[in-house]
Amino acid sequence: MSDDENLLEVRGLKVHFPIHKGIIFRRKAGFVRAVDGVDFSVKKGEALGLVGESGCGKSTTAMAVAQLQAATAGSIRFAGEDLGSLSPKDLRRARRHFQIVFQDPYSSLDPRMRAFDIIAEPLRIYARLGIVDADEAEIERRTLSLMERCGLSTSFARRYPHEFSGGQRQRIGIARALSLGPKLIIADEPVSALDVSIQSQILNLLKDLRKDFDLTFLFIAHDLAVIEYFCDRIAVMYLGRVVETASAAELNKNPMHPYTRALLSAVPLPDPEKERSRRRILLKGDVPSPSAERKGCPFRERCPEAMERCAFSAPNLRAVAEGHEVSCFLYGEA
Amino acid sequence: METRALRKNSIALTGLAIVGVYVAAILLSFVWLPFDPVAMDTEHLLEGPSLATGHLFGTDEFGRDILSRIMKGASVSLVISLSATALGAVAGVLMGIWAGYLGGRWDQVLMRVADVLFSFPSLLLAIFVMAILGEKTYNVVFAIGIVYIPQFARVSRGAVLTIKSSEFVRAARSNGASSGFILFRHLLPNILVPLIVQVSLSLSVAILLESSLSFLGLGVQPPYPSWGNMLSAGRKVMVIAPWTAVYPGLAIVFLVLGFNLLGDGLRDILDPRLKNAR
Amino acid sequence: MSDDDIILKVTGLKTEFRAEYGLVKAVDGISFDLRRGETLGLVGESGSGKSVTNLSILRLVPSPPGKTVDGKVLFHAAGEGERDLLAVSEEEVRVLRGRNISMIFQDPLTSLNPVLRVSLQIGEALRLHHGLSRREARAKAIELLRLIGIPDPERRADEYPHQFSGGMRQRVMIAMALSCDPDILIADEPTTALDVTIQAQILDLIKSLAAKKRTAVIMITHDLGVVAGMCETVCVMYAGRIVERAQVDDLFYDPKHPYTRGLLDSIPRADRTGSDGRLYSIPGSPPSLVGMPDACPFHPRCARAMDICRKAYPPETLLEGRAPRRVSCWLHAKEGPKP
Repeated sequence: MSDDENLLEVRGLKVHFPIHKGIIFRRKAGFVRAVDGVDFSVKKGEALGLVGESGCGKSTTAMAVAQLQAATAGSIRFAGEDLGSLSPKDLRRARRHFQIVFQDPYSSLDPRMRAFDIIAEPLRIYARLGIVDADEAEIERRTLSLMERCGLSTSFARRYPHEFSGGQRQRIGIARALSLGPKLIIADEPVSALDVSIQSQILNLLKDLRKDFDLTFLFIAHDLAVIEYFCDRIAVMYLGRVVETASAAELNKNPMHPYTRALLSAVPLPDPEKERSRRRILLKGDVPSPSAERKGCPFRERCPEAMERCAFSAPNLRAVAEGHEVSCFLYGEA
Repeated sequence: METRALRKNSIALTGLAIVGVYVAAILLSFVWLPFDPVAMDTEHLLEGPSLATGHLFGTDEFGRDILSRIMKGASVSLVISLSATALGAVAGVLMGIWAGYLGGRWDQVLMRVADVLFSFPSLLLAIFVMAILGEKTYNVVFAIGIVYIPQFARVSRGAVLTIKSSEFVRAARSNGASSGFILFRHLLPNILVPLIVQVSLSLSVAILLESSLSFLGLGVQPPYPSWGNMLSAGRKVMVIAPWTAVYPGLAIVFLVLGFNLLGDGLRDILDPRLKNAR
Repeated sequence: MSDDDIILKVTGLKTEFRAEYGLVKAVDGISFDLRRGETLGLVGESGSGKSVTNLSILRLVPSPPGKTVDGKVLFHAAGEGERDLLAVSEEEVRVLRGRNISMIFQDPLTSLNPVLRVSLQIGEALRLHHGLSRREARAKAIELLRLIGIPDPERRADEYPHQFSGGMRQRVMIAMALSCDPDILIADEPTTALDVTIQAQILDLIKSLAAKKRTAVIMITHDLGVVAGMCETVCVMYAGRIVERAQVDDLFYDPKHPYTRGLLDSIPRADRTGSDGRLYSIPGSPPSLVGMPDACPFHPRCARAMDICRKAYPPETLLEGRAPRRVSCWLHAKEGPKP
């Protein structure tokens, strides 16, 4: 695998949030280590899923990749360029190649703008900057065709967000993300706020768009089933780190990290017989606080297979098979 | 649905009509008044309202025509309340947006200053400012305006903070929008609703504040009429000549009501969530 | 199974909400039975009326704007006569809630009083319904905390709700709900706010505690996976009605209602991968519950809709099989609409 195949490459990404105490005299009282050394890469045309439970840092990772959250350390290379080193002007130029689909179909649309203007806004901004060459007629043509492509009737163009259902709003958000013709879509829990019957509509739409527009995806979700359906490769996150990456099929068949195994076994299956026969791995306790200074493996307190050494040093992500990386001492030194 | 939109609109219309009557009266007062509002008339002291004498609202203890004085005072009151609110709104909103949008240390400093100003009762603060600046009519504008700055700053900062963290602002940033663009395109329109409510409240409170200051002898100085000093003067003779206090009082009540209705109606009209109920 | 086993019998329950834009028929005539020791799933998407059903049973519908306008909720406790919860006095319902019927809600943080110690809150119901002393109640509370797997219960009993994590708070809610050995536990989306690994802990806890005491459970959820693992019987709700009720295996392996079938086919499955195919998806979105015509509310989204579906609501049809099951769909109706 040569590096130039990778559209996105994240190395050693850390995002720490300072915790402040006091109101008038603010002082730093510590850090929340939301993302604490994350590595992954996404090949062109691939869909990589970031999965994990709340507080694992997957959304913060997505926002850092989208350059909406400053990284504390590490590098994010997009199409070979280090995004962190770009000037504000160049970053603006680069932004149109990576766009975001947000989780909340309510707060992600400006309630005071009409659907058409929401979808057209990115084009208008870039047209004004002279980066995209399009006059108002061209913008209208593109916007309306995008609406149609995303399953929105163009007769709704002049409606306000509150007049749409959750699923339709998410379609507006998707159309907006596509309006600049991006290469990478960062989808941050795009279906988790939707009902089951709507969720499948949106997943299908994203799948179709991925094929038609030749898109690369960084897909964030807490629902392993959704990730497995949509993504080629999956990175499992726990407490600010990636603990395992593998292809979707491999991860399902052969999960290695004890956390991945527990996660897989905890997902309820809509199949009563399987539910009755399967054995769940029940984890002890809760996810520890990401603000605590810690030594050793972040998962050790809850790990059913924790060993003595797990308390002293943290394992690194290391390849154990072709395309399968895991960070756990059970699978040799690292 | 339509009746509801209409009913909401009729509130705004009523408010607009009331404010309109006042504006018309003010415009009229520039070209014509029933009597000279400052001319004394010892023949007609404390006369009750009467068609025969032409003093429709009666006369005060110097024989001056109350209606003429209310009309003349209206322009004073309205101009003071409008400019004080404008001053407070512009300064306060800028401060609030600045604090809310930039955050950090500036936010802390600005909002603590606002807290200090906020902790004084508005009338007390206005009296304090008047005492420093001196008893000039235009100083009333500053006094009331300064009272308003922290109020507008609070409202706009709160609104900015909520909207700033919403995903559509993030979406705009990821679409290459500059801070200025986000401010004017996304933030301002969305904080408009709380601001309009605040403006309409402030306009009416400004009328009351101006009247209070004048009533206390700190605002508009006699013989020039303002509703406040008319009330103040009328208070002394209220038992024998109630019209001297009642008519300026009613003038205040109706204008305050008009502003409030207008603000209420405008809020609904400007909210697209209510608008498209057509 | 005899009818003696039925502990709760809901018939023709209707609850309406008066909104600015019209009358919302949130629950529109639903019926189901709950047997002793059984776990019943009430499943549906948002707005299907599953939570309002729960509130109506317990007479907790906020009024105004809501009102339960019709129906019966017959509660039959062991060794006691049958009572209609909708007809008895407010006082009687209050005693029944908590002692005979307990609830757990989605958000464990807002369900706990933030300024009271955890032990006090768990013990409250015990002192109220069983007349335990303060000391006895505290001892029982600690015992319950241990039972639900909270480490170091003596110390944690004196802590406040915010010192507990979301999963622990939900466990405390379960401990409280089960502290009086109720006959029925109503769990309204108990794990929706929690992560999957915590969800697994909580569901496991509900299951084992309910089995131990033979508590009947009504599990309200939108997650068909949870239903498959927890429930023996399932009611599928759509637009304020129960469209299908059946034993869990029958429902999952042989769904009769097109909505149930569509729903099951729409779920991405963690146990099936490599399917390059698309998910099935039900077109459109759920109807508004205002001014619904007399028709099957699912017909605009149904691939098998017929003329009659647009003209009348289908009657509930009893289908014979391994276990009797009911479905409201014209495809299965034995007779045409009454003229």
